[in-house]
Amino acid sequence: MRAKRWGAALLVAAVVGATACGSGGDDSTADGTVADATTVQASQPPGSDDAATASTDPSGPEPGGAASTEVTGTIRVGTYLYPPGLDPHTATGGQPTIQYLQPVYDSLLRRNPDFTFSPMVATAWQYTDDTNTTLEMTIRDDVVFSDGTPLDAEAVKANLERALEKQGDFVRYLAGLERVDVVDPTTVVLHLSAPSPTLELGLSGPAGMLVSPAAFDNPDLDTNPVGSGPYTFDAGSFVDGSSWAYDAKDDYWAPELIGPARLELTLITDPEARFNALTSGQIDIALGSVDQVDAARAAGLDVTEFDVDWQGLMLMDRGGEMTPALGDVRVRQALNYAVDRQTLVDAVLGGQGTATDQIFPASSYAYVPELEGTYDYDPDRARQLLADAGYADGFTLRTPSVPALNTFVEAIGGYLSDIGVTLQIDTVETGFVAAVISGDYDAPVMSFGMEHPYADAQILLVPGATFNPFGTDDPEIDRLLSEAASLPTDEATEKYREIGRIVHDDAWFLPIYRPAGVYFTNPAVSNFEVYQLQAAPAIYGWKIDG
Amino acid sequence: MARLVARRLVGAVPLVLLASFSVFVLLRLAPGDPAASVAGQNSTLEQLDRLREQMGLDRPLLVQYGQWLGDAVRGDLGTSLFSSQPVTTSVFDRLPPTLSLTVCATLLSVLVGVPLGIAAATRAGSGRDRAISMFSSIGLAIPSFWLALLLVLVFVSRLGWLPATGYVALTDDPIGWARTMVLPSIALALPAIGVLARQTRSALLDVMHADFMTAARSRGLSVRRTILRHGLKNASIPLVTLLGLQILSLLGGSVIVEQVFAIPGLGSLAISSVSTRDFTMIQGVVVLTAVVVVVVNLLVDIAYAYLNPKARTA
Repeated sequence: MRAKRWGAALLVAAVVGATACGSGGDDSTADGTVADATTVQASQPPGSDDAATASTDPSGPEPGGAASTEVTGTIRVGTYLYPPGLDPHTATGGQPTIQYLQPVYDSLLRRNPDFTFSPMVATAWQYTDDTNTTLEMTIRDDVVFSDGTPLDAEAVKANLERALEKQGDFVRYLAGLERVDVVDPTTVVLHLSAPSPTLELGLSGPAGMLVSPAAFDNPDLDTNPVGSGPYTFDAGSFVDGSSWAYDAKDDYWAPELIGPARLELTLITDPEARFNALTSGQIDIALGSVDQVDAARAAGLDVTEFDVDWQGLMLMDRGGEMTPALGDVRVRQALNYAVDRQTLVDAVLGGQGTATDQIFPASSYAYVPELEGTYDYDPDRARQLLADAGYADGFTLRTPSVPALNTFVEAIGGYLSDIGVTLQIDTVETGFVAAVISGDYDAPVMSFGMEHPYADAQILLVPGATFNPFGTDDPEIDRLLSEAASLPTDEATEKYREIGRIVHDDAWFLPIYRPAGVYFTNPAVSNFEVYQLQAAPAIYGWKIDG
Repeated sequence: MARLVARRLVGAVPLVLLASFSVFVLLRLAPGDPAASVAGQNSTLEQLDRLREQMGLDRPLLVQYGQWLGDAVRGDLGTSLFSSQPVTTSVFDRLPPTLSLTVCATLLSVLVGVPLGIAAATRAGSGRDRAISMFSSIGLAIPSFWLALLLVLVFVSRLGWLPATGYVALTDDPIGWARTMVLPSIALALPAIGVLARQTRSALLDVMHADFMTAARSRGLSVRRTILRHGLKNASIPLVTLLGLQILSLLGGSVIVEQVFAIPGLGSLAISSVSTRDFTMIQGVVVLTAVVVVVVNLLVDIAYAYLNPKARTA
C-alpha cells in the first residue's frame, strides 16, 4: 500500500487560513523564481569537483548580516501550533513545529530565508555520482550532545535511520533515501534509490535533526529533549499546551546562531489574544492577520509580510468520473474564466492579497510570471466554452466547506451560477481535509501552502497523491518530474515551469488568490526574517535590545 | 450534618460514573480519529491500525471503558493520546487557573450583585431601583467574550494597566496573579452580577412583607437591622440555589474567557483536546469538571442546612 502523503505545509495552510483569514498585502517576492539564489551544493552538476564547504556559501552563518555574539535578553514568541512533543522524528503538524525543535536540536543543513541551504552540522555535501543518488556529507567533529555523547558519523546514520523508521510528517522529504554508510567519523554517504530534489529540505528540517542516540529510547524524550542545539529546554517552566522555554548554552559550537539568552514560546491560538499580548508587550513575535496591520503599526509594532497559501477550488474529477463535464478541459477552463479574482481579493480579503490563476507562488521554481492574467474574468468566453463542450445548460459541482472559508466559497458559487454552474456547498464541522481528499467531492475548496514544486507534485499532481483522489495521471508531468529530479536546480527550474504551465493550461485547479500573511514584531527585535515557502521563520539569530 | 454529607457523596458516585460513561460513548461516536491526529499526515493505513491497537481503540467499547474506569479509581486517568503526557497531571496543572477564575468571578458577582439587589429592594420603584434593574439587564445581555475584548481594548491597549493574556500562579506571585485575574473575572462575572442583583431584589421583596419582618420592626429594630439580620438570611435560600447554578455556569463560561485571555486553564485544554481528538484528555477534563460540580452542589446543600434547619434532615 502506498503511503498517504499529506502536505506538511497543509496543516499550516489550514491554520493560517483559520487564524489569519483575510490576510493580505502585496506580494513582495514578485520577481518570479528563486533561481538566482540557487547556488546550493546539491545542485552542483553531477560529478563536479567543486567541494561545497562552509566558506563557499554566500549566505554565511548569520542571517541578518553583521555578526553579534552578545547573548542577552528574552524573546517571547506567541505561537499558534501545538506540537505533540519535542521528538523531531515523530514531529507532525507542519512547519511551525520547527520553532519548538530548533532551540534544542541541530539539523544537518540550515535552510536560509531565500530557500537556499547553508552548512550546519554538515559542513559540506555533494553528489559523487552522475545520477544524483549518492550524496557524500562531511560532519563537524566538534559537536557534542547535551548528554555528552559525541555527534559523529555513526550518530548521523543512526538518526537518519530513526527518522525513516518513525515516519514523522517531515520524513517525506527524505523520500528515496535507502541506506546511510559511515565512511569515517566525519563522513557519511547517503544512498538514494532515485534522485530526490527535496533531500536538502529534509536534511534542514525535523527529519534531519539529530537526537543523541543514547536517548533514542528514552520514554520522556518528548518532554526532555537530548540534542546538540543552541539552547537547553527549561523543563521547570514547561506547561504542556501552553508554554515552552529555552535557555542559551554558553558553549554552543556556533555562537552566532544564538539569539537571545532565553527563548519563550507561548501557545496563543486566538488571533485576537495574540495581538493583544503583542501590543501590551507580553510577547515579541507573533503571526498576525492583515485586518490588524493598521492597529499594529499604530501600536509601534514592526510588520513583515509574507506569502501564504493559494485558495481556490481543486477541480479534482479531471477524468469526469463523478461529473462528466469536469472531464472536458474546456469546462475546467470555462470555470477559470468565470470568476473575477481581483473583485474577490477586494471583497473577501479587503484588498489584502494577490489574485492569481496559478497554484505555484511567485517564489516557487514552478511559477510562470507570464501566465498571470491569462484567465482574466470573461463570463462570455466561459459560457462559450461551456456551450462548445456541450454543457450550455450547466451542471453541479460539490465542495465541502468550513465556516472560515464559507464567504469565499459562496462568492465563487455566485460567479459560477452566472455561467449556469451550481456549486453545492456542504459545511462540515470536523474532518474538512478528510472530506477534501475523500473522493466524494469533485471540486473541493482548499487553502494550500506550496513549497518545493517536486514535493508539491507528490501531494497534488501524481497518481496516488493524497490530493489526487480521482487519480488524474498526466504522463508528461510524470516525465518532467523524473527529469527534473536528476538535474541541478537551475536546469530543473525549466521542467518545473513546464509543469506549472501544464497544470495551468489544462486547468487542473481553479486558483483564486493568495491571501497575504503578516508577522508582527516588537521593534526591539532585530534580524527577524520570514522564510520563502516556509510558514514559520527559523529561530536563529534573532536579537532583542534591552 | 455528617450524615448529610456522606449521603450526598454516595449519591454523587453514579452521577460521575454516568457523566464519564456518556462522554466516553459520545467521543467514540463522534467523527474524527485520534490515531490520525497522532500519526500525522504521513501515515499509512497499517500504521494507523497499529496505532489504534496501541491506543486500545480497537477493543470493544465496554472493555475500553472498564479498563479506563479501573485505572481512574486508582487516580490514573490515562495517558494523553496526543502528547503522551499523563492526563491526571495535565488536568490538575490546568485546574488552578480555571478555579481561580471561577472563584474570583463568583466572589465578584456576590460582592457586587447582592448589595445591588439590596439597594434596589429597599427603594423598590425608585429611580435607583430602575437604574439597577437596567444595569442588571445589560449585564445579562452582554456576551462575556465581547465584554472581554472591550475590557482589553480599554484597560490594556489604551491604559496599559493590566496584562492582556496569561496566568501567573498565586503561589509564585500574588500581585501578578491578581493582575491577571481582574479583567477575565469582570468579563465572566457581569452576567452573574445581573442575575444575582435581580434575584436578591425579588427574594428580599418577598421576605420584607412577611409577618416576622413586621414583627421585628414593631419591636423597634431599625430598617437596616431587620433587613440584614432577618430579611437577608431568609431571602438567602433561593439565592444560594441560584449561586450554585451560577458557579457552574461560570465554570462553563470560563472556556470562552480563557481563550480570549490565553489562560492555560481547563477550558483551553478542553478545546485543544477536542481539536486533536484526544479522547483520554477530554475524558479527564469532563470527569474533573463533574467532580467540581458535585462538590459545588454539596456545598450548596451544606449551606441550605446551615440556613434552614428543616433541610438538615434531608
